[in-house]
Amino acid sequence: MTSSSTPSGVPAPTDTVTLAASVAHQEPTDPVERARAMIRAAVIGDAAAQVMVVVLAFTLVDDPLIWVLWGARWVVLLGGLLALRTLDRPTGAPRGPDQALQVLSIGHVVGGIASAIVLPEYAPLVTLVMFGDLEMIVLLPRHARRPQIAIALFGCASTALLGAVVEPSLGDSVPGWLLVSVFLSHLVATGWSAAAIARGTYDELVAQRAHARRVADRLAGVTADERRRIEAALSDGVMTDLSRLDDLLVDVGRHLAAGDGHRASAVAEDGAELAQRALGDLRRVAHGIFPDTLRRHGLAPAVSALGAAAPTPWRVTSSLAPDRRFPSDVEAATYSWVSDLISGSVSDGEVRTISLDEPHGSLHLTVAGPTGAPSPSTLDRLDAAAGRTRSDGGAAILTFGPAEPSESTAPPATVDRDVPDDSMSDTRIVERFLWWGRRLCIVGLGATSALALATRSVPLALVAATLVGTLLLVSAARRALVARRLDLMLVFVCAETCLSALVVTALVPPIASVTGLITALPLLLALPFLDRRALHAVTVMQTAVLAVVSLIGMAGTGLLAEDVPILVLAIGTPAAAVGVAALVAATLVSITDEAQAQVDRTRAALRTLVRRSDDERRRIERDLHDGAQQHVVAASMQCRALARSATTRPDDAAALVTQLRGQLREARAEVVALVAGAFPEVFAEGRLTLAVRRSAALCGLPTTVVAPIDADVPAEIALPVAYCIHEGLQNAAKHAGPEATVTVRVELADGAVHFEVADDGHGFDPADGAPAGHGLRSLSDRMEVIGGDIRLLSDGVGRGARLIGRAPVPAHR
Amino acid sequence: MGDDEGVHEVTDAPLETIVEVMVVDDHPGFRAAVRASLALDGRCRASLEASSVAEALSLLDQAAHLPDLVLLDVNLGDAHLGAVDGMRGAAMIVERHPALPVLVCSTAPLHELPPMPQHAHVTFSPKELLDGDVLVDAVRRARAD
Repeated sequence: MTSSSTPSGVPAPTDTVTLAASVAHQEPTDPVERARAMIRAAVIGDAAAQVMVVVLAFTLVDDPLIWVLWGARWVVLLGGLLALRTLDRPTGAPRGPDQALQVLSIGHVVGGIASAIVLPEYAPLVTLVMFGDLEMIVLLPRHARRPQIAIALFGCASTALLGAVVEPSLGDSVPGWLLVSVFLSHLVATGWSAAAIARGTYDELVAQRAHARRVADRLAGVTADERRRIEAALSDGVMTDLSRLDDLLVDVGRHLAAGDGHRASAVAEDGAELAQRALGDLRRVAHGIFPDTLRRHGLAPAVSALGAAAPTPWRVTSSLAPDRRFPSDVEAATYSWVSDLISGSVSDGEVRTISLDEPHGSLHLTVAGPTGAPSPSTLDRLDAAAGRTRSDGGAAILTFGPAEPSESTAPPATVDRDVPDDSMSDTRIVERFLWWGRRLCIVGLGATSALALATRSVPLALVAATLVGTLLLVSAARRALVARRLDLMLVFVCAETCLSALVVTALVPPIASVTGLITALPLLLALPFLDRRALHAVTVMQTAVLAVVSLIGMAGTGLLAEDVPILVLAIGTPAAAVGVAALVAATLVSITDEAQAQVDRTRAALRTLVRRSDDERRRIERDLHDGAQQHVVAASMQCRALARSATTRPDDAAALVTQLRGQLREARAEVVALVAGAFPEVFAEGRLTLAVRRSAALCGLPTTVVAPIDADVPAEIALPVAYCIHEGLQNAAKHAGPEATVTVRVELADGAVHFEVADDGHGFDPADGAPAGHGLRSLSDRMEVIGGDIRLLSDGVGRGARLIGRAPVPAHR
Repeated sequence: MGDDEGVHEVTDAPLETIVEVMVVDDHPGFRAAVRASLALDGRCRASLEASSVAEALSLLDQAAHLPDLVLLDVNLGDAHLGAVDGMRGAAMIVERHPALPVLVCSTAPLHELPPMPQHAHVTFSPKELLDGDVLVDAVRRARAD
């Protein structure tokens, strides 16, 4: 599924299954699972190797050293098994994967050293294993990387040292064809698993980015849809109900005036029913993501309420403090997760329990019973709130980590800007890599040249010459990178590593383990840039080069290897190995950090997005609950009282009708103001007129609207303008007197919106200035913000009042 | 108001006096509506009004005589700003005044609310169904206990 085909809106019900499936597919993998799969593969390989060594020992090789090799293989195998056990430790042990990988790496180092002692020809291969161990740091959290890097560096150095200085002995007693074929197959297997780790890292990077982007898209779509839905429900449903209720009250008043108490009572009864229906509608609108219980009382009471309300109740236990509150996004995500799970449960199960705990400061929920599946939007919410779900023996488990990323690290930017797909930061990493690569080359060149001069060794001089070529190629790679020719850059890097690996190994075979490591570098550098196929191509090519390098190293027929003093090899080889391996480690750490930083940024942006829309949603829901809903409840109650007393106390009932109509007008004004405040898009492009007409309809006085605005007025201008006009109309209704009529004029001229609310009512004496109680202060505040102004004028008592305002429209529109 | 009591078809014998109700709700509009409805109904009277549990408790402490019933909204203010919700408020009121019946009410259904205190004098009614009958019934049940 490509991101372009992702619907931007809320998925239609029929899409839900496919969308859920694709979400599951794109879900970034669990690092523990990845580590487990990798270690398992390694253990199987080690077991096979063990069998092979035993077969060798009993058939072909008559040397006691083979048993040292056998013992070494056991160490490797045990390391793998121990690592698996560490991983399988009970959940909640926070350091499982780190320790597992360290145990595995220690096994590799011990086994590798033993192998290198017995079979120095194997050293390049063992170095490659160390490379794989280094790669594993991408699976580790920051604090656990150093030990892992230290173990791998130690392994690289010691293997390189042994490969360089130990005289081959066992190799002599093994038939050459056997050694070569076992070696090659082992090499392919090791290379393959190193490539698998690299590919896994690459896939993870891509998946995380794509996933975050899709989640952001979907959330934005859902938010927009939700807003439209609420806006429609309020403007049409609720407003219509309130108007009809008012009509009914007019009827009640008429019947009361006509002395027909029974009909008045019947109509009032209808009114009570209508009010109750309106209340139901309102409650549905206001009861979206945050039921009142969650908003007011927190997670534990809200989940208990959910469990109790289910057709078959769920038992809810909580060890949280009674008034424990979590961040709003965590509460909302958790609530909708539980709600999805228990409302989707179909079959009957014995156990229906939900438990809430907070071990080690992290929120932990377990839902055990016949559960349904969380909806895609719930999964997105969980994602944005950094919640992790898994299932464990029929129970669904949700955890939120204790470490809340602090608010300050979250950039205030939008998701669009914060889901980066450009490889700028990746190229910075490669740039740094090449910079260090060049420094290493120069140091190596200096050291080799000095040694060549001192020992007058021809091979060392040739190595120095090769290093010059390498240096040139690295420089060319840097230039290609600056020109953003990444493909060319990789070609140069591949050429560079092939040249140095092949030539240097041919000259000084004992250094094969270092050159083997160098050969693996392009694979690492290619990670962030290439697609899977290209990555495979680089893998195959570099593995082939590595095979040749290793075979040269094994053959040991270097041109003049014996000329190089053993001391030079003993110092130089491990030093070079550590240098190269450190470069590998540093680059991997950069790549991982960058990937993590990208994911963190995206997540923070998502979180901001969700929080912002939730806050708004919550404000709407609270306003509805505290405003319109209370009015409607009051209306329902009073209609009931009206119905009861219309026949017995008609005069009191008539008074109540008048009072009640006033309340309803207030309720409608509140809903209008809420829609205006919460949904500025109502005022986008041409809808300013619509908003003004709505306010006019509500003011209760005969109103003429002259508003020929078809030009586009940006929402940030239209909103305060509409607000001022609304308030102006309300003021006219309050102060102008019942006989007054009102005219509203809105026009766009000279780059500004000019508006006027004029009535022909009581007015005021201009000498006294504008009277208090018109809320003029708050109106001019609003106008000031957008660079406009507003005045209240009157030509004198009895000659009406005019509210005149002007709001400039920014030129770029 | 004897003639009013006679008109309504009340299931039980009429109460002798007007039921005095304390209305606790943070929305003045709602309190006004209760006041108006009760005035029209005639059997009850909103004798005391409070906007929070704390205010209600102190009014009860100062009152020369207790009302016959406390009508208490559940969602009073923002709980995380320190406001006591109506359910906890009901528990506090019946603890101090065990004989005083408390009718908690809300626009939300009971199962969406915090647990109601287990006390014979604490009962619940949806807000939109409140009327003289409901209030009088609550008082009558409490007196029957």
